[in-house]
Amino acid sequence: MAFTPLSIYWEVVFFCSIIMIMKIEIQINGKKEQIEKGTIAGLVSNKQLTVDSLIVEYNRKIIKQDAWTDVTLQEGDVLELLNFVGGG
Amino acid sequence: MQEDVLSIGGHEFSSRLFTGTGKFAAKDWIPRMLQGSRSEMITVALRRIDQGGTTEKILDYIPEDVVLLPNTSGARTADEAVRVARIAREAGCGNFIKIEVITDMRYLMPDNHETLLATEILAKEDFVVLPYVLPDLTLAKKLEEAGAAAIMPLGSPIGSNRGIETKELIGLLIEICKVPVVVDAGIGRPSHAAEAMEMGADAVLVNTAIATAKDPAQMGRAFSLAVQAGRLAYLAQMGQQSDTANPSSPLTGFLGS
Repeated sequence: MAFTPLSIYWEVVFFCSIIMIMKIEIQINGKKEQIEKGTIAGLVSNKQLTVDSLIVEYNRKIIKQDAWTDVTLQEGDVLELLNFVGGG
Repeated sequence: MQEDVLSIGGHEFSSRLFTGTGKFAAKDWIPRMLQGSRSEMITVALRRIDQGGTTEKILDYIPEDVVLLPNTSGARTADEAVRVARIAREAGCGNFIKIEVITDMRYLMPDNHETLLATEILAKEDFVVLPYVLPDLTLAKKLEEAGAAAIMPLGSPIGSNRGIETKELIGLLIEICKVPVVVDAGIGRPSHAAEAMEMGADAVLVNTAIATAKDPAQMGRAFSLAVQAGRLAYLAQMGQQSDTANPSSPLTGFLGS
């Protein structure tokens, strides 16, 4: 099979499209981010966040840690990743 | 003698010193400070995590028998304060909430109007609402009607350590309000706390002055003693002040007369 410059071009376009399909854009802590499609649990794990003190607000609803695997993130979702800190 | 306890939101406090978790040089000062001060209620704040760093496990430093008082700092409107309060409760911090709505970043003056709006909403949702306000008697009455569990007037700007500069106005609140008055912000030294308690304040909230001391545990104890002294003096009912001297010893029967 011969790789002409044109076929390489189309392969690149094809793979890029697949990556585009797998990625979604959501808002995390006020900033838009491209993330892999998946659950809250997946995102937390990909970002290597410390889970024990993490509070997740998903589209204005608190999602408890045991339900993180149940929520699949969708394009345009708004996520707040929060924690308690020192304050007066 | 009956124990002098302060009741707020169905909870009884033996200590009238409330504390905060901000500004400690190291978090492990917090449990030591709580031991020294015997404070039974402490504030925490809610923030976005630092995605690059680790999450702060502030709650790990607070013993379970200490009541958490999450604040709504960072909120600029009533709606934002309500949102923070709901998150804090859902996250397991209990029913207590200190409403703090601030837009003025130089003096950190609370927005009394937005604070009242937030109090009205949250009290209906069974929160124990402690609004942080400028001492305004008319507003305090409205807060009471709205269901505030206590009123928290500021002594002077947050973190300023300037003491009770709003003394006369706080005095009015203490006289008229039916709910407890907790003097919050600006209390810089134990004598300020004692002064508030002598005036008849039900409690004080101190963060900066304790947290930024070289030894927060010992400063916590110093504040605890000052609060107790001020409270005892208030209950004992102090004598009258006068412009001229009133001799403490009899003016008759001098040896030389």
